[in-house]
Amino acid sequence: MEEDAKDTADKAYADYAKTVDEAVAEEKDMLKEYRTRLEEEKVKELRQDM
Amino acid sequence: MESPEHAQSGVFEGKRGDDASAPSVSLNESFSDHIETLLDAAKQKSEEFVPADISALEGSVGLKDRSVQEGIRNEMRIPERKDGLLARVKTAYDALVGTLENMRARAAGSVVRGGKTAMIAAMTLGGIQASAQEPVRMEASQAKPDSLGNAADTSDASAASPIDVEQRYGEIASTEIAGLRQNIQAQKEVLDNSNTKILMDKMRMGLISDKNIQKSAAEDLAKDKDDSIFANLSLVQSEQNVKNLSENLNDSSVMGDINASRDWMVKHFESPEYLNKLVEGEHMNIDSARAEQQARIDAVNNVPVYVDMSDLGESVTEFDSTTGNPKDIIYSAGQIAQNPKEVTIHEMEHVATDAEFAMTPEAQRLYAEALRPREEFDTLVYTPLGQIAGLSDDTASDHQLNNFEYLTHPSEMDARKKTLEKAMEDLGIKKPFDTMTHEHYQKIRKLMEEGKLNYSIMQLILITTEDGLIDILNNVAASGKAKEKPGAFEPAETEMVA
Repeated sequence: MEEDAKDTADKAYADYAKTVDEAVAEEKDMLKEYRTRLEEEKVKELRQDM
Repeated sequence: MESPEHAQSGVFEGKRGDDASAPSVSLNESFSDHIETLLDAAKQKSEEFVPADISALEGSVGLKDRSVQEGIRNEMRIPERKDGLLARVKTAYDALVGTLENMRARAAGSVVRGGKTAMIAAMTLGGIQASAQEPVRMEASQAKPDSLGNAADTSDASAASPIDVEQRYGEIASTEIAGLRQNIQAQKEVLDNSNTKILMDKMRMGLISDKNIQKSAAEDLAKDKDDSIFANLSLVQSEQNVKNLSENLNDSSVMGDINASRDWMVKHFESPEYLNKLVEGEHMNIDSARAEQQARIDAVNNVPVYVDMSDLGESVTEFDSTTGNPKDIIYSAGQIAQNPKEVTIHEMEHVATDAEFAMTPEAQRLYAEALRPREEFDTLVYTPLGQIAGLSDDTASDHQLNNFEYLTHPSEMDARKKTLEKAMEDLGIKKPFDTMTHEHYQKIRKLMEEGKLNYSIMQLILITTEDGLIDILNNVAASGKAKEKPGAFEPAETEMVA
């Protein structure tokens, strides 16, 4: 019974850890995409200045 | 580097160890230590998520035209997405801490008061008896009503102040609603930011004329299709769940939900059509079928039920390890709040059939033959429907089985079949004893693809073939209690199929 409870607790923690990992990955992707968009605009600005 | 925003604001703090009013309890040390380790690990894990420093990123690129920068930021919904991610992690952290602390309190036999309660309301047919002191949960024998259906003597428990179950139920439902609303927002963001939508908008506006880009856009669109389907389904289902929860809060009580489902089950079992299914569908002789019918009515009528007000996880039916008979049902308050009808019927069907142990060989054969091949299940788990139905989780630790073994277990299929029958009745598709046809199947299939069915019903539809599902709905009554009667499972006049 105690082992079952431990397994349940471990599973709950694993689910949480997965949520954190996914949020970290999602944020990384979001920032990467945002940076790309900003850099594209920066290139345009630089071309205009040339 | 700056400290994480959540650590600074302390959103992950103050959720544990601050309950000075909790009674002192004798904890099971090793389990308690394990929980403590997990709580520490969770806090550490939370620090891996560092909310994005958007202004630093913008500064490092250094666009001169700030309006362009602002336009991109708004178009990509950067602040909202950032807040959404933080909220998602915070919600998950709070839920985990609540779950772990409640498990620890339960293991210790304690009742913790306050927002992160481990209060358990013990309920019987006769009404609600609850104790905020002790016992945590009444023994099943104490809770059983007498032969006249009167509530058991609960004078010890009722001497303590009763828990306001309605209030606690309301709290849980409100929390669920808040979580679902976050999910709705997240799915809307996915849809708003999907490649499909962005590319289609651009093409519609004539911004993409280059053939190569159009080709690439078409490829992206195909790739994005599954994400969009998933987001749409999830959105519809979350909105439906919010509606369910809001209605439950307004129109019913916990006990009302449970007793309404119990009444439905008893009425279902009492019908001559049910008796006929036992005889014709499952090949029982008429005397055994009658005994079975009555045994099932008694089992569902008499099983003590409890609602664990601390539990947001799964509901369980407990069986006596010596006799193998159903002992009681412990409903998770979270599941009851989310979908009272389906979860109550699901667990009561386990009681009615003694899990799988008392199902007829014919019923078990029909369930086994209704299944899709394992390789199709393995493919389904990666589809949007499979993900929404929760097929992708390959371990079900509560059951010590992997997900495929758990979902294809005859008793689990049977419990889902019963909830499907009730859902089809509620949706006006067909009554439980009307013959299931391919037209009925197409209707439920369509509802599933529109995200309008509960996940456990989706699981049954997905793991079975069309003909298989029709077959079990038309033939299985799922018999149980007459198992010990000699000859109960012998074919009557109908020939058994090998």
